[in-house]
Amino acid sequence: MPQKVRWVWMLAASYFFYGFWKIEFAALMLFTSLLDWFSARKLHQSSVKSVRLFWMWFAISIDLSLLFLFKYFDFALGKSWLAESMYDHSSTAWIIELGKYTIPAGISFYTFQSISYVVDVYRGDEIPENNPIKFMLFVSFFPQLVAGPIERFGKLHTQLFARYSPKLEDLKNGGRLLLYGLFLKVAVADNLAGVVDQFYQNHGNYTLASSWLATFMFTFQVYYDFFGYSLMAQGAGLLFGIDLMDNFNKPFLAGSVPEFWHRWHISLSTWFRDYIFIPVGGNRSGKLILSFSVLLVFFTSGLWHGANSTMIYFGLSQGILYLFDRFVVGRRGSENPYGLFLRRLKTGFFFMMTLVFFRGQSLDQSFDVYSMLIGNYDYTQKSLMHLTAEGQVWLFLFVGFVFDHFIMKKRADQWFGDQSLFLRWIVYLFMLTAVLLFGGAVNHPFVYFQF
Amino acid sequence: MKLSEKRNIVVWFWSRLLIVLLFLLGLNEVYKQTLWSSDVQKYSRVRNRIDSAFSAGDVIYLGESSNTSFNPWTDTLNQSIGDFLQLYLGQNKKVEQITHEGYHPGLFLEMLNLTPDLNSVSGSKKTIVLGVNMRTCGPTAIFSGNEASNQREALFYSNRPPLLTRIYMGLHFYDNRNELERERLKVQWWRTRELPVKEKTVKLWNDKLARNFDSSMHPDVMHMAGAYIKEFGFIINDQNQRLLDLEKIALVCKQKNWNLVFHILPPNRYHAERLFGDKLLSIMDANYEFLKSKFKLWGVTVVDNYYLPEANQLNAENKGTFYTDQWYPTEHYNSVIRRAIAENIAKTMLNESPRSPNWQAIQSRVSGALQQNNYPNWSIVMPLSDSLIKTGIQR
Repeated sequence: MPQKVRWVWMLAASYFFYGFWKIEFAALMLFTSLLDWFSARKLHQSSVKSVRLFWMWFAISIDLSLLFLFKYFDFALGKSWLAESMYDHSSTAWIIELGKYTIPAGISFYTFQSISYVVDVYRGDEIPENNPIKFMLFVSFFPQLVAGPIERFGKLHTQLFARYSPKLEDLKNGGRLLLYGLFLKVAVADNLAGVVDQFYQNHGNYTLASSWLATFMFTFQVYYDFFGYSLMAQGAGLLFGIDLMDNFNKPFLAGSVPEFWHRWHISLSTWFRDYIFIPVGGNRSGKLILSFSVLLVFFTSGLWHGANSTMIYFGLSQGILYLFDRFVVGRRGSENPYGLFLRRLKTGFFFMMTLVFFRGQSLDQSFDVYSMLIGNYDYTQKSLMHLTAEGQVWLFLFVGFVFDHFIMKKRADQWFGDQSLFLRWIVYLFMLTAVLLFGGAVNHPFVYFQF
Repeated sequence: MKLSEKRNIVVWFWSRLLIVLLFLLGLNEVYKQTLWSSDVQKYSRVRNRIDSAFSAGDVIYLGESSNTSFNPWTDTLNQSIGDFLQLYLGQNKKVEQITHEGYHPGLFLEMLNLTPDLNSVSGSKKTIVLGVNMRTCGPTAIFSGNEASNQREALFYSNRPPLLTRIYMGLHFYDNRNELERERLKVQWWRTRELPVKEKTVKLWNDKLARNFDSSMHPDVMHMAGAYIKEFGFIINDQNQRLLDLEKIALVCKQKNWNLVFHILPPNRYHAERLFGDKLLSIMDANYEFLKSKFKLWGVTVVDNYYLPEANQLNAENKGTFYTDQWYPTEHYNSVIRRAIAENIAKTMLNESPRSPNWQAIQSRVSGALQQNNYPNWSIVMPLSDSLIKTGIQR
């Protein structure tokens, strides 16, 4: 394909991909793109600080208002008088219906990506793009559109418009990442989801051991669901010669909560660091400001994950544990291997426990599950069910975890590339078989699609 | 790009594709011999029934829960409509049933497409008997939360290679809209589709119902009334998805040279009338007339059981109790109605008049075979909604 039309083709493919689901939401993304492109140009053209600030906040406030309307409106209004009366009028009822039942896929991702561009231009870190249509591609590039990674303008934009001729190495690595990501999503995460869903659909009827098993499995379901997607996004990007950032880096090897968030959903963590944590005060203004910044970031992060009070609890509990690790645990035990092992265990355990809020449909359900986990539940009242997982669920979880956390010092695609042809193909065919024959039968959309 | 690089990519791509294709061919065989049957059992409730039913049966009864509903409170007989039909038709015609709750014409169509053009085992034409439930054309059924699993099941009604079906299932390559999205479409329907009543839409009607609710009314009746509006408050038109499926079924049967019988399942008009007078009934009756006219237009044999419970003179005071679900509109009948439905289907299929000696003989044969009182035991008190709605609610 000629270099000149390559990006046009990618843009058309991106909008087709997104608009295929709901054309209205493609129009919403188009609006966000044009608004931020326009605002960034306006602020760049002015040297008056107040004007520059105005355009930055103008863009951010409209972006966040749209995000609020589509994602948090129903949560904020609940069953209030306003919601009731809006629903009673045919001219406004659709807004309530939309807020209640549909969230434009990936709206949180592309809104954050677009906001980062405006702020970067304001800070003088980036020069604004002159062509609005080219900017649209930066916001909508389809491999990372609906669930990240949230890329920065400087890195992604340059690659999108750089001269590129297909390389065999990119195709190989892209293909490997696609297959590995598909394996983690379809064979590991979806199978785990089947077990976890059983428990949460009827949590009161399961044994103590079952509640621990479900909590344990949900931790890996979320991880492999999102990690699998991120790898596929990277793989699809590589097929176009675009190198997207790593979104995960063996998070369960983290010795502390702060380290965990350096390894988990890296593109979001760094976004919060650069655009909220540091501007608010960060870690250079004393413990009080640091604590405030951390809690604000985690509160926002919780809210970003979903319009539900359970998500706010999830975010805040992570924030509190972050501060606990930072101020109380410190670097204790990190020098020797046993200590490090215990630290990793503790960090993983903290994360696993807070995920009960993440998975719970309501706070009541989450607290119910916590009660069950600590045995504060009358298990003698009725005949309880045992949650079980089929053999292949354990096998794929084991394989996924070993591959991901222990064998590979490098990223999956690079590790595969270093093996002999025979071993490589054994692994490929194993993963292919797992995907084709054992993919989870129940539909579990990517967990992060809803954010 | 250099020519050598281009050549490398082409060779790499096609060689890998060939390896994968060969592998898939082998894997399909392995899957077919090992896991396929357990997957069919796990994910498709009736797939195994289809082949055997269509090859062994002269009459194939396709139905949903109305076929097998059974009221443990009063029923002395637990035979399904299909079982009763077998009794009426006698052993010369083998009746096979494919039944599951929540099934609808869309799924039956897939089943019919799957089956080869088999001729009857006894030499006569095969007959398909399908119960048409009016509510299946409404938004509650069309956007039911079970629809994703129904659609997944329908993947198995196909002759494609087993591995491909497994891939489609694993990658969710079917109408897998989630419950929330279906709920949105349903609510949108209730809010926007106009009805020929003063309240204009189901939503406004339901809102009015809630506003007029007072403490003299039982809350369960209120809930029930809301359910009746939502389940029956729709107008069937030519674009209705289920109607289109029924039309395709008529076409498929014509192509395969099979007889097709649609029998119209009677909705609970009795409770609808008690709750809303003529208002809801007029909508239900209009839909019934519309369906009947369409079926005639397509040349389908219609067994009209729409007014059956009312026409049935048994215990006229308790017509509402023919329905086993007293608090929700369903087409679940006790054995009196199940038997009467089967009787009407048989009468139509055999082309017999009620007074013909042949039919009288069949009647006595069936009664003899049942050897039980086929009437409900009225002395058992059911948890009837009946007494609570005697005065009706806001009309």
